[in-house]
Amino acid sequence: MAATRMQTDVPTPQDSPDFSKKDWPGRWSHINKILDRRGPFCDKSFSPGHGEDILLNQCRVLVIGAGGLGCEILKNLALSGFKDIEVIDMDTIDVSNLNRQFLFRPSDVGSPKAKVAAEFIMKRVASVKDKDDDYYLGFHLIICGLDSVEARRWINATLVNIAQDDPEKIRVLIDGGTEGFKGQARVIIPTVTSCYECSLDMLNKQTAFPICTIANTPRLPEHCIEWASVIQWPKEREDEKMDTDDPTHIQWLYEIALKRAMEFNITGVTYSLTQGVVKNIIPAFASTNAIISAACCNEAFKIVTTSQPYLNNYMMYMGNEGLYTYTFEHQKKDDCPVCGNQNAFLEVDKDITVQDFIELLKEKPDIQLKKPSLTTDTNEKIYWQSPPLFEQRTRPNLEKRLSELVKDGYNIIVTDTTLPISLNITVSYI
Amino acid sequence: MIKIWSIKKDSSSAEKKKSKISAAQIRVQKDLTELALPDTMQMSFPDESDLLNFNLSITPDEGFYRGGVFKFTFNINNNYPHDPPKVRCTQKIYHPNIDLEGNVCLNILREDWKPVLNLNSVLVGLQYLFLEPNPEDPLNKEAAEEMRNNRKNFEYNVKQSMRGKDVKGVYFENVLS
Amino acid sequence: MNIDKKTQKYDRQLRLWQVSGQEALENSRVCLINGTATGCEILKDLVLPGIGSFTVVDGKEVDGADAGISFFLDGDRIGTNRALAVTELLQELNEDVRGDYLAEDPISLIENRIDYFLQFTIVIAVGVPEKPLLKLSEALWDSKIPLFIVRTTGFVGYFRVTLPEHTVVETHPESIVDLRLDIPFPALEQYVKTFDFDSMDNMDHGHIPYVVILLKYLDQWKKDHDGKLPSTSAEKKQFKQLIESGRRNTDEENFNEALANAWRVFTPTKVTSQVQEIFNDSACESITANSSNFWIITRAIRDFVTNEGQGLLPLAGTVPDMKADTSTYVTLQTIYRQKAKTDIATVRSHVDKILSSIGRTSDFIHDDEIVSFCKHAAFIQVIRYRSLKEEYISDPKKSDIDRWLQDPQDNIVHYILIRAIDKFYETHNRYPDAATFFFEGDTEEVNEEAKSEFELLKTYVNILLSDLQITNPPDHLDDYIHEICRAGGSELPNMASLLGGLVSQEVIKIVTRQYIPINNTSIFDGIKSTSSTYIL
Repeated sequence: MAATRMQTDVPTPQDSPDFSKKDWPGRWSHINKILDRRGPFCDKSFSPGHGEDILLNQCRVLVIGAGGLGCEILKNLALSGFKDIEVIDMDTIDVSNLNRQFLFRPSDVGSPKAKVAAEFIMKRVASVKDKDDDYYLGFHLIICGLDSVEARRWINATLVNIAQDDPEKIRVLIDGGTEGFKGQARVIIPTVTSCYECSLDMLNKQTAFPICTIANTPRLPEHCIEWASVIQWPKEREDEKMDTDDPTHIQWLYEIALKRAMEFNITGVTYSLTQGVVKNIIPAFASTNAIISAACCNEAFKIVTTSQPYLNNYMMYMGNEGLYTYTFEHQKKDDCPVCGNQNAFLEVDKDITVQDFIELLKEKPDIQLKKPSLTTDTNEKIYWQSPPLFEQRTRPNLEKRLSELVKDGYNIIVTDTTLPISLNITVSYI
Repeated sequence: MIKIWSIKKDSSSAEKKKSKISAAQIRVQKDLTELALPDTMQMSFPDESDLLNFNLSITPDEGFYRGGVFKFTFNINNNYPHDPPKVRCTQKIYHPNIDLEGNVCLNILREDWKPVLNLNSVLVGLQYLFLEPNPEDPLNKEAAEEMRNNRKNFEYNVKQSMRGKDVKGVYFENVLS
Repeated sequence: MNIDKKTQKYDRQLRLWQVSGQEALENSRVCLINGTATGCEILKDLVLPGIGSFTVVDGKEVDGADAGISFFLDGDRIGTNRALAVTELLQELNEDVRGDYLAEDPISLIENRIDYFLQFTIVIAVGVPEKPLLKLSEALWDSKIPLFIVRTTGFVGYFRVTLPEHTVVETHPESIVDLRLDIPFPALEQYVKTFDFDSMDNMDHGHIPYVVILLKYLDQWKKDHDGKLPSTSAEKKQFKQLIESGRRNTDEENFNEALANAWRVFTPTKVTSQVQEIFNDSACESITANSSNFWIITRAIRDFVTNEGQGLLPLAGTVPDMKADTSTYVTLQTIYRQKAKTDIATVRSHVDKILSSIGRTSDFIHDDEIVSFCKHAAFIQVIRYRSLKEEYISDPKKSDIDRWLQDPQDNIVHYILIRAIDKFYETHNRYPDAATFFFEGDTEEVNEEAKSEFELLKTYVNILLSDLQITNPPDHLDDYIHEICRAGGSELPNMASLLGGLVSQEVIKIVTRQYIPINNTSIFDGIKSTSSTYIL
């Protein structure tokens, strides 16, 4: 993962390196019309004439992803006056990115995206950092333009986790995503609004085919391609890791799939389809990325300057049949495994044994668990009801004092059949 | 409106270590601690602090495969339960729904996986495969054909394979305990 | 490697509009009037996917404000011609696109050399005042060249498409399933007859495709019901029970699929009213030497429907995936494809007849086009736009606007305001631009100038409202008058980029003739983050 820090003093590629000349007369005149004047819809706290200072001097923004969305986001933020922007990405540039990612040139192919994007905008690079909680707390706003569900779940869970301790640690997350002519932009205020995890069921399920169909009754070209990648690759190239970015690997899979398709009279296996299936390629083009990124940056601008109300909290966009948006409040899910995590604070005797503590959890009227299993927040098992291996391992702990295993003020993660996911208990000894 | 401007930068940075447990991990933890593991199944963890990778052995007490010990590996990624666990059989066995490479054809492991399912559902599914192999949707075509056309022969082949003998020229692993 | 650089570069978008769409894009010549931030953002989103060429027409000198909000300008360009400056940087985005500029005032160009614009495939006019806009739109309309009219001000974006007619074959519906289960064609019936369910072993029985299951039981049903299909809900239920009775065990997925698709048997295959309406269109009725391929093929399909098709469209020929073994599925697929091929050949002969009747040879229309047309026949679209002259002068949508305006949440209010500031501009040669909204406790003084700006704009709003015969203007209008005075004709980078995305997407749909474009006006409200589309 590459991280690049940039000061957006120089938002255009051809700017002179002379930073003293960074502003010219009238540079911010369009934006200042909005920031210097109150409007009928702006927030009560809006204070005309201070926006430029907020944008230029106070607000730190983290952009995650420097792909099709990320490039647009960086450009929009820089042009909107945001000065202190950091960008992280986990990918390098591929030729097929160039038609959507305008901060890159053909000569950049192979370079880490974040670096090139930031260099293109400002030609100033800073060091890679380790991302702990404090890292995220150092920003006021985080904008995500990622194509990976996993990465978004991770950042979402991290921000919710940070915010759960203390409302002062709430950091707004703005998330954008696209697929072909469709996309969405949303504002997530950790612990306050619904989070990314709350809406996971809105995602399209990735198609998976039965392995017996792939092996014995292929009907579609996709079945033949999966046969090549799921069954034949591990069989014939056992020791080699499949790299879906390596064209020779795709070519191999394509040839195997094509041979199989011919054997079964199946039509439609192409190189492009092979690549699409094994890489799970999501179709994309510049327009949708521009729409969604701009919508995200517009929300960032409104939130930071309070110059207009911000999105509460989800805008869905569909452009394949006419142009359609649906703006609504996505509801927080009580049983969300990330933000729905229940929290409890428990004062217990400093000499309480683990066994008695478990009894307490069963009996306490406002908790009432059935067969609770306990883990420390550093992932040490305190007592687990199952599987037998861990039950045996942790059984000796039942006799121990809880305070030997969990320090005062620390958390215990409790799972139980009666809980949707888990309960977070902070213990305090008296 | 959130007053993000009232927020002090780097406010009281963590004196206490925050939990670094991911949503996937907590979910696996929940699944594991609520498992109703029958006597015919045993789990082992090569690294007991890593809950995402473990082994399962099944010792069927009835059906064609009675008396054998069948070993599987479970690999769970950080996108669980959005992605299903990856399950493979580590031995070469003779079974209509498990191929010689250890691929397992069980609907809930691929096309019918849903996040509401859990590790218990997968274990039940695996157990069922040994009690009632499904020869109508085969992965090992030869085994399935034998089971459909000549159950006696199939039963004999299973027994042979479990002893580590060959069936039609293919040698299997001795799985008798 | 068997794919070329271009296929690689455009891979993600080729998956949306294929080579045919890309070719159309690469043959397009786009003209942008005014290289504003919004204009450049539109071009950026067209240059990246690879249009053929673009030309920027702009007579303005770059000032500090322009350079501040456009990614395609910088401080060093202040004082140079804007068309020249932005063309240079836009060109850098894609080496396969040719960029050109004309450093002339577009308004005088429209007045004096309107023919200049007729060389383009598409014209995008950003921030052109009402009068020259009307003239431009009329000229382009007569030449059937699409015009996009674009405006952004503050947090509001507006765009409008004018074009006499747009036809689409590849509308990209979610799925094309045309199985003819209610009226199976002979080859399909024959194939179903070859199945004897009772004699099959469990494995084969579990792999009978649901199409065959449904048709088999339908055959049985028809024998018991005087050849009629199940029609009442009781009958439909009985039919499903009949299928259920044929199941050997609850695990048979193919029977589950049959039950889930039983509705296809009950839904009569027919020409939809939407397609019928296109058949009835006068353009389909009277084919002339000037008719487009779309209308010639549509007419041929209509002729097919009334003759060989016996009331039905040519078969699409696609079979969705279903539980089946390979050879059964492939055979079934071949039966559908074969029938589709026969239908295509028949349509082809109708096309040839029509072509010869208008003095053209059959190579005037390619087989590929007919193949695609037959596949999508049930989903074709014709959009007839209203002209700008109709909207502004001869036939404004008065009662619709009045109705929409009564809803305080509706975005039509922005349309009123944008039209009003255009009228304001016509007289004052500037946009309303002042702080006019204050809180009671505000320290700022409500100065007279601000008040008069509000009242001045309001007079233009009222003129427009009375033109539109809106007698009962809603209260919330005042808020929007304040807001647009605050915006002062400003362009916000985010709104410029958002509009760039929306407009470029519609341009791509029109140029590629794929997907369904808007008809005819879209407004995006960046305050509420909502959008609306209106026929104006």
